[in-house]
Amino acid sequence: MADVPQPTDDNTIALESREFCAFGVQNNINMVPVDEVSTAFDRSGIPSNLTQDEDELFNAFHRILNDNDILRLVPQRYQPDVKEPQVLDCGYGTGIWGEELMDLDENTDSVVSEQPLLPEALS
Amino acid sequence: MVYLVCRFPTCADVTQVTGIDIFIRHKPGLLDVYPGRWNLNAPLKDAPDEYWLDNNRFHLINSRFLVDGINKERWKPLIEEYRERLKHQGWLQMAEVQWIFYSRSNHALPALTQWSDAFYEALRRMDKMPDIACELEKFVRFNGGFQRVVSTTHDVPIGQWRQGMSNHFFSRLIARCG
Repeated sequence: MADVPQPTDDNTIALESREFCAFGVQNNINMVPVDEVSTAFDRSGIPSNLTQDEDELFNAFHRILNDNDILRLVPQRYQPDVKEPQVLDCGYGTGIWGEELMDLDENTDSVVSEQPLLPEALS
Repeated sequence: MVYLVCRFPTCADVTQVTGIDIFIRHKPGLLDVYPGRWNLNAPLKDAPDEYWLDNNRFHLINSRFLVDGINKERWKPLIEEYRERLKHQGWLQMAEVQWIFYSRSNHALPALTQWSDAFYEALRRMDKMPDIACELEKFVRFNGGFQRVVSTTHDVPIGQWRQGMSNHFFSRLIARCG
C-alpha cells in the first residue's frame, strides 16, 4: 500500500467546461465536478444552463437521505454518558452531515434515529 | 467541515469532527476541527499524525459515497480499520449508492439503463466495486467483526417535478425538446 498516491493540494483541472479535483481525476478516484456554478432558470423554471452547483447537488442528495432516515445516527442517543463524542467523517463532501450532527448536539432532545450498526461488544 | 465550525463555533469543543476527503475547501477561521486530505485507498495508519486517526479514538464513524473512489480490494481492510478506530461501544454507519433505475409505472428506462451500464463498466475498469452497496452488510459483519449489524435498502426518488409546475411549463419543455 506504500505506493498509494496521496493528494498534496486542492488543485483542480478543467474538463468539458467543468472543474474537477485534479488528484481525483488523475488517479481514478473521483470523477464528480467540484466547481460552484449556479444553475440558471428561465421564467418558467426550465434550467437554461445545464451546469449545476455541485455543492448544492450534494446537499440535495443529503436531504434525500435524511428524508429517508438514512445516516442519522447521533452519539447522544446510544452513548448518553459521552460528553465530548469524537467523530470521524470519511468522504465528508461539503461537511453537511457533520454540520447537522453539531446542530443536534446543541439540542440533544431532538434526536432522530436509524437503527445503529453496533460494533461487537468488547467487554 | 470548515463551514460547520464557522456556524457553530461554540460547539467545536463539544463534538470534535475529523473529516477525511481527497479534496478540501480551506476557508479562513478554521477552529477546533481536523480536516485531513487523505486517499482512503491507503491504510489509515499511514495517515499523518496530525489527522488524529489513532486506534480506539472515535465514538462514531460516518462513511458514505465512496463507491467511485475505493478500490475493489480495499473495502474489506478499510472496514476493519474503521472498527479498529472505534472506541468500545462505538458505532459505524455506512451508506453507498447503487444506480439501479426503475419506474414505479413500470415503464422501460432504456436511456438510464444504458447510462448505469456504462457507468458500472467504467468503475470496473477503474478497479472499483460498483455493487458495493449489496456487499456492505456482509463485509461489515464478517470482515469488520461487528456483532449487531442492521442493513436497510432505500429507494431514492429522482426526477420529481417541482410543485406548482404548470401545463405551460410542460408545453414549453416539450417544445424545447422537440
